[in-house]
Amino acid sequence: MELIKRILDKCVSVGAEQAEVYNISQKALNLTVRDGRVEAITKSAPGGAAIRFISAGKSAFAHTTDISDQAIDELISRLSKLAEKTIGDKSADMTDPLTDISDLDIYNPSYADVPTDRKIEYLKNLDQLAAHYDPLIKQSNGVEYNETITTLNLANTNGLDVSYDSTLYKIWLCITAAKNDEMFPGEGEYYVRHFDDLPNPEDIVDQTASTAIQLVGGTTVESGDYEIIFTPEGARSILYGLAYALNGEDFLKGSSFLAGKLGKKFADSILNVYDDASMLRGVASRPFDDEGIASKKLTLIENGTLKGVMYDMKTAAKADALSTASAYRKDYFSYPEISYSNLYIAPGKDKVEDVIASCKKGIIVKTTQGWGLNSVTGQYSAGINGILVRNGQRIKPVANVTLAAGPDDVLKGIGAICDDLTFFRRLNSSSIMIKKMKVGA
Amino acid sequence: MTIDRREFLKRTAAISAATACSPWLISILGNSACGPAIKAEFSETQIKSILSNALGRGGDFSEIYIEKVSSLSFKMSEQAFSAATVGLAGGLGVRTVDGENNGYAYINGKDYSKALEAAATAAYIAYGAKAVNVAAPIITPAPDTISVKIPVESIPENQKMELVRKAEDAARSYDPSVRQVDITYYDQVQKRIIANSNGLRIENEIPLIWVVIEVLAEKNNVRHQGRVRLSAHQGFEFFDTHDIVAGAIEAAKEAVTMLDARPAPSGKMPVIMNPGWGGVLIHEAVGHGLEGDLVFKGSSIYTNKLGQKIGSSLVTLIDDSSWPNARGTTGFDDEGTLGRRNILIENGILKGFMHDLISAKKLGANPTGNGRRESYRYFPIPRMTNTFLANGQANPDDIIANTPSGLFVRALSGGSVDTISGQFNFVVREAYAIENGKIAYPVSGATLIGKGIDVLLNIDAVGNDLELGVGICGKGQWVPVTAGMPTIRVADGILVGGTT
Repeated sequence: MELIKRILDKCVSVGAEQAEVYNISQKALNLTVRDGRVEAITKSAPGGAAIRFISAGKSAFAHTTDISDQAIDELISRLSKLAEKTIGDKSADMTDPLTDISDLDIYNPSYADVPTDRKIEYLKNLDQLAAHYDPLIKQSNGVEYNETITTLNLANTNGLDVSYDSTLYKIWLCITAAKNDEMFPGEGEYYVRHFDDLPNPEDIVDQTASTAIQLVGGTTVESGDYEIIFTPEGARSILYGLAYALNGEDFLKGSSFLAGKLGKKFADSILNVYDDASMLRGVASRPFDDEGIASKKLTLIENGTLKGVMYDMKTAAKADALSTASAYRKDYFSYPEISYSNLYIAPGKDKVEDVIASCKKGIIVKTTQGWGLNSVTGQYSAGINGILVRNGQRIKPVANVTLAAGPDDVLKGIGAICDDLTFFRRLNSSSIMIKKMKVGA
Repeated sequence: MTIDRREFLKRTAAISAATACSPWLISILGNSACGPAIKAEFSETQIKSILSNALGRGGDFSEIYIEKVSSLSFKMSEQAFSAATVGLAGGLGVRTVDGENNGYAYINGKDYSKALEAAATAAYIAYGAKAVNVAAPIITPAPDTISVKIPVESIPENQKMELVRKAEDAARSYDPSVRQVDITYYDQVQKRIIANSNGLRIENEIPLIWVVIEVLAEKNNVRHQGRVRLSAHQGFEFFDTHDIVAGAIEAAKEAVTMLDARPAPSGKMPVIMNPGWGGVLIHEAVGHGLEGDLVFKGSSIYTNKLGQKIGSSLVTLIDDSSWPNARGTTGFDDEGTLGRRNILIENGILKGFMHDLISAKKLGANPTGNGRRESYRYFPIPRMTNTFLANGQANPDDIIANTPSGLFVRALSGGSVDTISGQFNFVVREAYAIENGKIAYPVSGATLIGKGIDVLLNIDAVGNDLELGVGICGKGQWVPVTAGMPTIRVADGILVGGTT
């Protein structure tokens, strides 16, 4: 691309030893339907360019929506001077050329080509199904559709020059159940690369509305120790903390509860955690990371033992390790940092209904508020909504209680991992049972 | 070199000389120039065409939002500067409003033909058969609630870095247990121009400074991260009154103190909140439920409660987007409504909601200046600005002395609310047990949960030491806000979830 070559040449001409251009151009459509009508429609062509500049081992970064010659020249001139001032910054070398780009089947614009009116009909149907799902449903709070078609280019002065196209479709809905003055929402969020990979509308509404119906009118329970069965949604409160704790930068700095535990067993043997950016059609899959390193499946935790953490180029260099292709930019204007792609707890063999059936005194945790697993301390603390279980029977909805556990108690105390894993988000888990956690009321 | 603002104007003047300048733009900018390139592209005739295009299928009004943000940020971590970043983002959004529905399209940059296309896309939302006329322009001067003495872009980067380095030194040398000091510095200058089909024309240019200091301390395998954030819409003179070194020491002190924390207790107990960012408890627990869109959509427990008693008589809650230079202040909101002080709850009685143009019309109220957006990539929705509980009469020391046992919360990490169920949650970062009317020892690992309405009814002491704290609020889009309160006590209604 002309633009990229022009930027790289300009960087070199003002003294860059290495330079990199990251450029995305997108087409996006966002539709919201509520009460049977289109409440909002947003159409856009976002995108922009980012430049990394290294001179005398020091680096600086720029991003812009304005790619006119004048704007680019001014930015690069500022970059070269800014890099001089970043005293003490040891930047890693930039990536070498990448020749083999795998096809992960993450581009399918066929639904984007469908007329907008048909997409609106699809959403109106979802909205109606939601509103009339059950007498306890008070209202559908709206159904949202988002499509993004992205072309990403990445090039540097070492000869790297790669690109890929991708599509991402998202459906979001929120449904309110009401009972005796109490209201409770069910929320569903689904991301797919191919529109046809979405569950059918009836299932989407069923999964979302049933949470609202089952949890509305929750009351407190006695304080004490309970067996906790996290649903896949509830288990995200563990995954978030785990994902941060597995971030190589926090790990190296010691601000992760996993610091110093590489190669050590710190969790129940049943726990296996992977981050796989090379998964076919994965919502966060990509042939290479945002620094141009080819994606692969990472084994982070195996049989309860910490096997690895996620690195980008710079952090890997500090750790005397290799990048795990975990460099991630939220958008073109974001400085690349370490993040997960499709991170998941590997499924086990248990059936969630069997786990519930054999539970004597427990809570099925469906939604959580607060941080859950703290990535720095390893403690767990959250507010929860769920369902009380006694002797295998679902008794009543639970609300206004907190859930807590000490540093080792959650991951060491896993009693079962179920087989109900799906991949509609970047963080994914099956249902997980923790043998004992503290419920406060 | 930073692009000096005067130099910037000089350069764009050369471009604008060849362009038709609209009278209202010239009048706003003075006689120096037609302004930055983005606005120089559009004459009044063109603006009118874009607005007309957006009303091609009818609708209540149309609007153009033009934005340009120039930013600088860097991080000091492990005693080195990294991620030094300069940014330039600019674009234009066109909106058509039809009842409570929004049609929106935006483009990067300033191309006129693309802006016309965006207008046609926005028009899609309306179903009226007839096009609507566009009113003649009336220029509204922007209020001067944000004043600048020393433009942030006039200060060289190394001066900003030196400031950060001093703070880093202070935090690092505070105690041997300090393991890591991370300081992020960010400043920006944002230009906004808003024009709508009702004739509104308004613009301003405001700076924002945002510094986050995080200090990690570790001892005997126990870790705690202390945090202090400093921010305002102000020039570089901000640092004359906000001591970054003192902030760094405060963050270090928190981190070190909390190493000796005992596990937090569990159960219902009186909770005393420190003044300042503790106000986020009210922001989340109550504030979001008072945002007009959630109210008219029936997604708030406060729908239909106007004029009712919803809190203790000690509770007066205000959202004030005209607080000089505060992080939540904007001069005018992102629909052009001037900033003002809105009383939401007065002595426990619900007095009003926070509105954008749509929710105000829908609920038959006046716009309150709360229509905000993250950037030109979003259409505005009702948001908080500077939201705080007003001062009461009590001496803060007396509130603690009169509490036999409970929890004193000095800092919250953050939290969220579900406006439908009214449930909120907060992660406590720094807290202390209160025993016999005294602050006894630090406790860690606490979460606060409850329902906003229970908290409001159970506030039984309000101090006279109001402070604002700075933060970011997310509601599908991020906006800078402050949340504030004096020292308060919530006698009952908050459940503390600890690990013991």
